[in-house]
This record gives sequence, structure tokens and C-alpha cells, in this order.
Amino acid sequence: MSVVNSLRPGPDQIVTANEILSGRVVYLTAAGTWTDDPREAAFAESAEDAEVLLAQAEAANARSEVELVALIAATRGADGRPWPTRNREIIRALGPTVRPDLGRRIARA
Amino acid sequence: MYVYDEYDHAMVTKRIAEFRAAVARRLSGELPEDAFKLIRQMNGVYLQLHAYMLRVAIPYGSLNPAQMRRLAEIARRFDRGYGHFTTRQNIQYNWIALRDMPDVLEALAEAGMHAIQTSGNVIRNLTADHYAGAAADEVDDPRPYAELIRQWSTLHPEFSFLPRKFKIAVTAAPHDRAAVRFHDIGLVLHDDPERGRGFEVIVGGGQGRTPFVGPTIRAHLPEAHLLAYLEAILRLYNELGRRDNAYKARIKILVHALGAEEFARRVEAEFARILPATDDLPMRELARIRDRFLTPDFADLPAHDPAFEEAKRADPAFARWAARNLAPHKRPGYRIVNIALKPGGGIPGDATAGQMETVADLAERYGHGDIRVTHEQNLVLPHVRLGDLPTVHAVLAEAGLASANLGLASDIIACPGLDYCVLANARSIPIAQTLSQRFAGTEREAAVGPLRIKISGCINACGHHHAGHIGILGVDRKGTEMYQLTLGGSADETAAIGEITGRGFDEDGIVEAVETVIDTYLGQRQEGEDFLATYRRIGLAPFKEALYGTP
Repeated sequence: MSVVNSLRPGPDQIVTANEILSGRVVYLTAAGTWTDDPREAAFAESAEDAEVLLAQAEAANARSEVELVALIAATRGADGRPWPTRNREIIRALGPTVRPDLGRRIARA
Repeated sequence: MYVYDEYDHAMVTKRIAEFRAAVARRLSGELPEDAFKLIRQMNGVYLQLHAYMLRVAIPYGSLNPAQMRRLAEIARRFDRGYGHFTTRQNIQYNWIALRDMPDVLEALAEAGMHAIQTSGNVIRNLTADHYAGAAADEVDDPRPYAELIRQWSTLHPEFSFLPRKFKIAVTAAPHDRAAVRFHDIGLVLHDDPERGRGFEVIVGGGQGRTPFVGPTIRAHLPEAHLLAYLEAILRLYNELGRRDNAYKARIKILVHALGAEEFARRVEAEFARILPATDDLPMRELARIRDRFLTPDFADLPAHDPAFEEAKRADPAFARWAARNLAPHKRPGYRIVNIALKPGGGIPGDATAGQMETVADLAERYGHGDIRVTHEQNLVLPHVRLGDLPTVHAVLAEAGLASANLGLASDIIACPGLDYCVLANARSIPIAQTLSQRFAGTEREAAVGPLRIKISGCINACGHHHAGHIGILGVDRKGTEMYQLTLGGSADETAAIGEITGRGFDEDGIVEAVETVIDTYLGQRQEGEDFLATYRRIGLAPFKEALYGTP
């Protein structure tokens, strides 16, 4: 599977991927499901946490549920929920900055 | 316009059935991601930042109205109501679901289109002069030759696993509108008084990480030998091109490493070896292909049209558009109409389904059923009567398609950048939008005159920044989008690679830097000079000084 943009497992990370049927951006939750909203993602406090999450995501990839699984850097927002830190990942979370009408219905954290 | 025959239809239909089966196997879990990736890419399907992207081939940028309507229908039915015309004369859709892809490919095939070889390490969609068949300055219509190469290169067994992608561009005019010196192979058709019809063959041009202006390796190749010579070039590349490093795998690196002279010598040796085994098949095929091109039934018209002249007097907006967006046609009484997909503050190359349908209607009613896509992300109606131009302009204006800015500062090329592209390091569209907002329709834009601003969101250079009079390259500096400036690039017959001015600028700074460059040009230019002429006369130094101060 492709891990081109994936970080090495570490603290302050969440797992993202693209849902296979639609290609839409998704994030792995603590319940092992996939969500559109990074604030609902499982937040890895440590490298060990991140490894566990990555293994879960790789299993979902093997079941052909998602593609392009990756660990990405995140931080906890004021509400304590995760939010990606890199520009690229913020754009992935919100949609193209030049077409806000096509973005997803989540507010910037 | 080339019309598919039964063989073309059968081949494309079979290919879709294969892809439909592959998608089903992927969705069922039978095909793993990496195996499927190769298959989807060979059918033009990428996975981008937000969703799957489908790149549809528009061979040499030529479309008929039914095809344009089909593109609009796909945008509306399977995407989000728009498409993006690219710097390679293709169209990309950004939001199509994988499960819908086979149906989309079927819809394309019904209209004589496909997405084969729009990705992967193969010979990609051929590009050509977007004025082909209409240009006043061309030797002949180059598209039958482009179609010959397209058919030869489609699913070519020997060239299906090249070291890297391979792009060929064709023109038949001395003024290069196809950027032939920035392609893996560039072909320029000419009629030589002594040697007859033939091609100048240019190899090893390209942009990206290592930009090169391609050298000519053959000044005159007889047209009958075109395919044999291409075969010799591709074979040499297939054998000697690097496969150990994707960044050094394009043919330009091989040509540079061997030297153009040695590369040419080896091509000639292979060509001489295979030539005795060739027959006149390519020329017979060319004749067959020419028969399947529907050529417009032009009327004999006077060179001047009173209605056209009167409309220019009566309507200043029409007069401005006519002065800027029309090009000479080979037939009296006709003009080539350029439709700039560059409204002030808009996204370069984007068109809504409704706009595509408007263009299709105009082409059908007033344009001999012919539409072109340009590598500068605009559209063209190549054959419009002078007397119909006021109506065409009025309809375009109603659809938001009458920007009178062709070749000016707001006619900007920009790649999708970090707003869409998985490879990008920085956004390019917002920079284009800010610049075009500032310049579009202003007196300053008119005063500046011809200016090519080109913006790429990464070093792969899909926005052709190396060839921009003003080029902008987006980079990522520790998580911040920064923009490098290059000056003096050109994609025409005087092809040149822009020079880097110095350290980069942030998002606001790059816009001000462009203003500074333009101020410097306006202060230094001499009578009759455009930006490039001034730059070539005075060089980089005055611009550097204006941007960064005296060293």
C-alpha cells in the first residue's frame, strides 16, 4: 500500500486515508470506523498509539475499504479535539480553498 | 475533426470492459491497491487530494460540439458541475467516484472519446497547434499527422513501459503555438522547395525539475519516414533511458547526458537499420486518416464585412474583444475566436457545464462544428465568419466567457496546485486569482501589453512556469507556502527558460514582486517593445535590483 506522505509513528498524530468507493478524505476513529471530520479522529499520544492506529488502517486497506493510508501530524484544538497541522492536510480536511462552496461542512477548528 | 471508425470503437469498448472488471475486482478486495493503481492510471484515473480525478484525452485539443456537450453532461451527472481544462489540452474532473468511472468512460466512448494513456509511463495524449487547420501561417493542417502518431502510439506493445512518460507536440506553423521545444519530441512540419514536405525533429525538451529547451536532431525528415524515425528515437530511449531514478528518467536527461549530436547519431543508426524494412504503410494510413477528417465547407467570403466593422464602431466592449481575442484565418472573411477561460479573479481553465454547452452551441451554429482546447487553458472556435462575430461575442458575454484578455497579464496559466494536487507544495490558483483581479480589464493591463504569467505549485511545472515571461514556482518552506520568481522564459519559437531572480516571496509578497517587475519593465521599455523584448535587451540585473535592492 502507498505510504508516500505518511509520517513515522510518533506522538500527536492521526490516521487519514481516502475512502475507496468515492475517494473522499477520511480519518480513523477510536472505534475503528472512518469519519469525514478530523476532530472525530483517534489521537495518538505516543508512537505506540500511532503504530496501533496504523495497523488498524492497514487492515482496512487490506479489506479494500480505504487507500493511501497515512499518519499525519495533528494537534489538539481549544476543544481538545484533533486538527491537522500541515497546510496540505488542512486543505484536505476543508476542501479546495478556491472553491469553499465545494468544501465539506466542517468548520475550521 | 477525426471520426472514429469501427476499429477505434471496438478497441475503446473492449478497454472499458476490462476496466469495469478491474474496478469490480478492486472493490471486492481481489485486487490490492498497488496492482490496481497501475491499471487505473493507464485509464486516466488518479487519486488526488480530495477525491479521484479523471483526465480525459482530447487528442491535439480537437473537439466537436457533441463531444463538448458530453463533457458537460459528465460534469453535471458525475462530478460537481464543472471541469478543468489543462495545460496539455485535456480536461480533468476532480470529484468522480471510482464506482462511476466505468460508466463515465462508456459515456465518453459513445462520443468518440477516452482516457487511455493520459497517465503512466507511455506516450501521452498528443498536443498540437490549437489553430491547426485554420491558421493563416500554417503549411498544412498538422492534425492528420498527429492522428497518425496517436494511432501508432496507442497501446504500442514496445512502448507501453517506457522509463517515464513521453509527450509529443506537433505544429505546422513557423510561429510556435504548441511549445514544441518543451516536449520530449517536437515536430514542425514544413515544405522545403528542394527536399519536399518534411519535419524538423526536436528531441529532449521539457520543464520540471531539470528544464531544457529541446535541440533539433534532424532539420528535415521526409514525411513518409515519420513513424520509422519516431520508432528509432523511442527505441533508443527505451533501451538507454534511466529507470533507477524517476527524476532522471525523462528523455531530456538522456539527450543531455549523451549530447544532442551523439544522441542524433545513434538515432540515425537505428533509423538506417529499420528503414529498409518499412513500406509506404504510414502514407497509406495518412491518406485514410485524412479521409476521416471532416473538413469545414468554407464559403467564399469577402475579406471585409460591414456588419463586423459597424459592431466595432458601435460597441467598445466588442471592439476590445475583437482586437484582443481574434486571430487571422487562412480563409478571407473568417476569424479564429479565442475564448479566454480567465475571468478576472477566476480559476484558470475551469468551465461550468453550462459554459461548455454554450461553446458547443456556438460551434455548431457559427463555427463549423469545431472546438479546440489550448495548452494555455483557453478554448477556441477556429472558424467563425466575420458577420457572425457580434452575435458570438454577445452569447459569450452572457455566459461570462468574453474576457478580452488573450495573451495579457490576466490570461494566466496555473496548475491545480495544492488546492487539488497530491504532488503540489503550494497553492497556485489563489496567486493567479489575485493577480488577475488586479489586472483584468485595467488600463495598466492594456499598457503592459503581451505578458505571459505562468504559475506552478511544484517543481513538476505543470503550470509551465519555466516558460513564463514571468514564472512563479510554489515551494514549501518549513510549512509555509513560498513563491520563487523567474523572468524571461518563453514557449514559442524563441523558446527560453526563465532565470530565477533570487530568494522567494510569501503569498502577499509574490503579488507585489510581480508589480515591481512590471513597473521596472514599464520604466525601461523602448518604443514598440513588449516585456520579453525589454527583458532580453536589459537582462535580469535591473529587475533584481528593483526586487531586492543594490547588492
